[in-house]
Amino acid sequence: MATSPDVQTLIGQKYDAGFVTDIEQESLPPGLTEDTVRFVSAKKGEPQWMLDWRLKAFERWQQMKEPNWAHVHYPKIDYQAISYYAAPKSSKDRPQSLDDVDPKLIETYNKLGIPLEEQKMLAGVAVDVVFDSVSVHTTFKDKLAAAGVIFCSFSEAVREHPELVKRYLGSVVPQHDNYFAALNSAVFSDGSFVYIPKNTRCPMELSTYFRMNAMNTGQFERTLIIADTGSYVSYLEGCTAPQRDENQLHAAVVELIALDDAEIKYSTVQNWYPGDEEGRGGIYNFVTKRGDCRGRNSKISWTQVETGSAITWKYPSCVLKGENSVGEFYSVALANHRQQADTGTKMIHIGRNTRSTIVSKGISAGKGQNAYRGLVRIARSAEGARNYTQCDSLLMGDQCGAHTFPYVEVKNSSAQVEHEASTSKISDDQLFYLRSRGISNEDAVNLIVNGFCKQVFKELPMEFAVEAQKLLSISLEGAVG
Amino acid sequence: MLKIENLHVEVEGKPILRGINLEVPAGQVHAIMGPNGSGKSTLAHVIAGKPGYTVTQGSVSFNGTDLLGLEPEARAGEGVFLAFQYPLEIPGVNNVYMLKAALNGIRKYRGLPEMDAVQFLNLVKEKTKILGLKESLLNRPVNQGFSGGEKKRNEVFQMSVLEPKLAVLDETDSGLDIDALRIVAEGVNQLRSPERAFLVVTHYQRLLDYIVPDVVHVLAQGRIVKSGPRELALELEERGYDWLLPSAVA
Amino acid sequence: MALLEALLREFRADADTPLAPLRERALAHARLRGLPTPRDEDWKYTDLGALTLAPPAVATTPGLDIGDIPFIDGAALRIVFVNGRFAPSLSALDALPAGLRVRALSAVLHEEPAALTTVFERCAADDAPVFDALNVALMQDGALIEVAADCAIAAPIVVAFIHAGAAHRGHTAPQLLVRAGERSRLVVVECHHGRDGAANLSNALTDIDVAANAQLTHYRLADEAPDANHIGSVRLRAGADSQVTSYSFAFGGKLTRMEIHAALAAPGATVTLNGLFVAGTGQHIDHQTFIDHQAPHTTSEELYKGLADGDGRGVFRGKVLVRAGAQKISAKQASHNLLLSPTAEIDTKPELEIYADDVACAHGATVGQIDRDAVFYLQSRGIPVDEARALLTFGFAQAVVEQVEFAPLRAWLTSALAGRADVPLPTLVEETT
Repeated sequence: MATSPDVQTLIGQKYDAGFVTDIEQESLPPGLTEDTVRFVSAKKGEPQWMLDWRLKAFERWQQMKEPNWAHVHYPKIDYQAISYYAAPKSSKDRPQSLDDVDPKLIETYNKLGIPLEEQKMLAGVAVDVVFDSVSVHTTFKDKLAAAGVIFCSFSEAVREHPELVKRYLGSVVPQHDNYFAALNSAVFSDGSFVYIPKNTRCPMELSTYFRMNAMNTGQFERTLIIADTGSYVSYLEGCTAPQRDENQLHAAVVELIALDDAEIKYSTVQNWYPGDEEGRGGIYNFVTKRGDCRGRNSKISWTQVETGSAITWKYPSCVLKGENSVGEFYSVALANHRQQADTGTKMIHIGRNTRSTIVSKGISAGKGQNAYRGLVRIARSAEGARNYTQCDSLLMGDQCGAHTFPYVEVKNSSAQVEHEASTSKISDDQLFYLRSRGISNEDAVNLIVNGFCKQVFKELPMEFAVEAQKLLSISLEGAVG
Repeated sequence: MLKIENLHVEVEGKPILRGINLEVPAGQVHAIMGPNGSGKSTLAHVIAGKPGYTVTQGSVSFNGTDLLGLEPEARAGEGVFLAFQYPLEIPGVNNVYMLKAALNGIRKYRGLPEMDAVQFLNLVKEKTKILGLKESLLNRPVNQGFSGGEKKRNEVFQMSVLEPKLAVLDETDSGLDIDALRIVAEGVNQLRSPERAFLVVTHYQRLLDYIVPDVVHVLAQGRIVKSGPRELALELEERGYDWLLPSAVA
Repeated sequence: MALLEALLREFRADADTPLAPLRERALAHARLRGLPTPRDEDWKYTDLGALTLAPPAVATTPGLDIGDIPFIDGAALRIVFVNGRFAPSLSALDALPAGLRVRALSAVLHEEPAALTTVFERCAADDAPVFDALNVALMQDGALIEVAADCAIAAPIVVAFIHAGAAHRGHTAPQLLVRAGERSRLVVVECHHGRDGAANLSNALTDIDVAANAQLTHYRLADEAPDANHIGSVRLRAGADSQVTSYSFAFGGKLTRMEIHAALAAPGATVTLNGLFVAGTGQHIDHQTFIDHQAPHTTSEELYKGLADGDGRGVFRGKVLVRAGAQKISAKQASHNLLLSPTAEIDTKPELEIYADDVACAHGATVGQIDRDAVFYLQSRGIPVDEARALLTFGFAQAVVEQVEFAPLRAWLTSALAGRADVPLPTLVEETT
């Protein structure tokens, strides 16, 4: 990995001066070396153990190769051309009003019915007071504190709850798990930390949307959620509204840990910028999400609606270690225009009587390529394990693609594994039938698509489900003409 | 109400209808009979606007509006309804939900306010009773898992909710046993009114014992070769169609 | 690579035919690529690490009796190879019906090398699988079966490759080429059978070309001796409106690896791939099927049943590809598997890759054990538990077996299943005769 002389000079100078003084600097020039990792850590005022952890990850990353098995194509990423630390932009660099924002973005906000003030925030408009978020934020904090729930930024957790972070960080997704996870482990910017104490039902749905300080966590987000014995939490990630974002590469890591009798429900609506109709721009979303059902009778459920990003590479997984533990994966993934999605899940059955359900709905339109990739592995120890997988693809238009790559590995004869998949198109006859009843072409397509996705939508929290439906119909506008 | 003049229609370059002239005034029931392949279903599809048919000549107007220039949903908005010979199954889409979307789509087209859920459900309950449709079918996906008879009944049920001005029934009797035929015919008869016209496409005259037509037309080789009163249907049953085919007439 | 060098020396001795340059290129290609490892996606579940490739077997013809040939009852037309070499005395080719031509490749290599060029070129190409390349490089013998246009051949033709004798430990590379002319009909029964302690590695290539409107049924049985390994490759091309059915049955051997590629090359082609494998203790059986819908209006159907017992391991990967522009496709695939012991393993990967929109494709895969309720039901009717399990296992396999129209093979499968189940034959088998 060659680094340009300029960058080396900069980094070299910084190193000579020592980074204690240099962290006054607000952003780093492009490039990734051990010093970059030290700088990021120092900037956040991290303790030595955290820095050591990052450095170990960086060392492993340097020895790894970028994976190429996914069914996606993109130009080679130059990891030295990325800046790994940038402070939030100051007000004067941001759009001064909604008039300065891309009108297409505003149009989408209006279709989604997003209030004006919220639009400003999402579009990154410089505002002095973020509507009434302060009050919302405060009531919210009080309620959680009363229940003993910890919900804070990852940086804060490193400072305030080091013992929890030390115990659980990397215990589900080790630093060297894969290329992007290793990169994230070395340079992660910030993210969320959640701890639900024993026998506690989290009094509300936790949402990044409410956690204002997490809005600018950038491209290498790190999330760690621990549900202690007998607890329950529902966590919502993302937002239906497309957010302004200047980072093309996103490599997040999410780790979930469910102890005995605990349950975590993790819902995602992902609508990053997908690029334009010709496939220019757009986010590369290379995410590692994994849940560890460590305790008996624990349950982890992933629900996702993925409509954004130019390239999605994402397999929220469950490691079912605890006896009777349950893993679920419900997914709607859309690939329109030139989007490429390679997404699915892994269900690793280790404990006795573990059960998993996978329902994946892929929609391909335009020139989109949508691949489901899933692994169901029944280890020899997983006596009585069960898996049911249903994996359906809907095709709209004759230039898109739908692909299914399920891996089923069974080493225990008492297991029952069932996989079903289908691929079909919206038929002209179905559309004509609905239109002859007075339903417009677009509404008819929406009806059919929503019917196709219903099994997944019903797993989402109510409000999210309504938004997801809207989002899907906006994302598919003009897909059938 | 419905006026078809010199209608020529092709499918993939092959002429199917070769000059249809037909007028159906409000309040009347017209039956279209004819041998297989004569173009009966094509006529029904063209009136409703199914894609894939090319009109090469002629016109179809409905209360003075040119139907051929309208999208299928606009034709429904104008008051045209087609009961399908093979009703489609639409997985995942709830029957009642679809109907509500349809009714409100039509109301919107006509500049009427949307019907609220309570009003709508009352309407649906009332209509289900008339057709003896099991209420459990209402909340199932459209036509999925319905028997052949249930599908046809569902078509007539939809018609009774949407209350069209012109209903085109395409072989609504096929696949029905005699009891189901009576129920469906009863449903249709209840909708007969001075403001409403019916075009009943059928292969068998049996349906016409229950839905008594004002006029019977015989369609053969893409043309209407004979029109007459109800008795014509009985004659057709006895003598078949051969005596009416152009070669025999000439 | 010393091994490949040894193979190369063997090959040079045979270098005087016009195909020699192609064979040399194939060998060079194989040498360059080396043998696949589990890091290759196609070999994810099969490790060749323990496999030894000895130089080709020295042709020895052990004293085989005609009764040692499977399905001899139904094999009025047959061509037999023993330890890689044509065995005229065991073959029956005198009464071939008009329009059917059957020749040994050892003869064709010299008489009509042009008949082999297409296959040799394909296997020598840079993208050819290594074992296909090795096969054409090292092939010593095999059969070429040609049926002329407009000929319907009622009697099945049996092609038997028999490996016998403990002395038989080398590598053989048999080939079977089938050419079915337009509107013809043919049934081919391909049988790889090992006995008497043979410990060979057989790397077999089958290449089937079915012209427009022809109908071909192909049965293939891999039943090598317990210490032998079998690597088989079937390539078939289905022409316009042709109907091709290919069965793969795998029972014997230590390692059996099958690759079946079916190309639906022209509109109207219909291909059915069915299979049944039983992996017992010490056995590893891997099937890789690939159905390639290249043309619109093509139909494929696939049913594979797998059984794994003892510490046996069964692998099935079925890929269906619908190419861009190939509209109006129907493709159905099912992989059903039973694990009969706590130490057995099944890995299955049914794949769909679709680049067209007007398609109806579906696949299903199941892995499970014998239904306990069904066992109980039979027990409650007075059937002993072992027998009940055997009956249900047999019933599970039956969906494939009952489709076999060649009665001697059906009987063979039935008794092989009964033998596995260790249950007295009469209980299970009524239709053997």
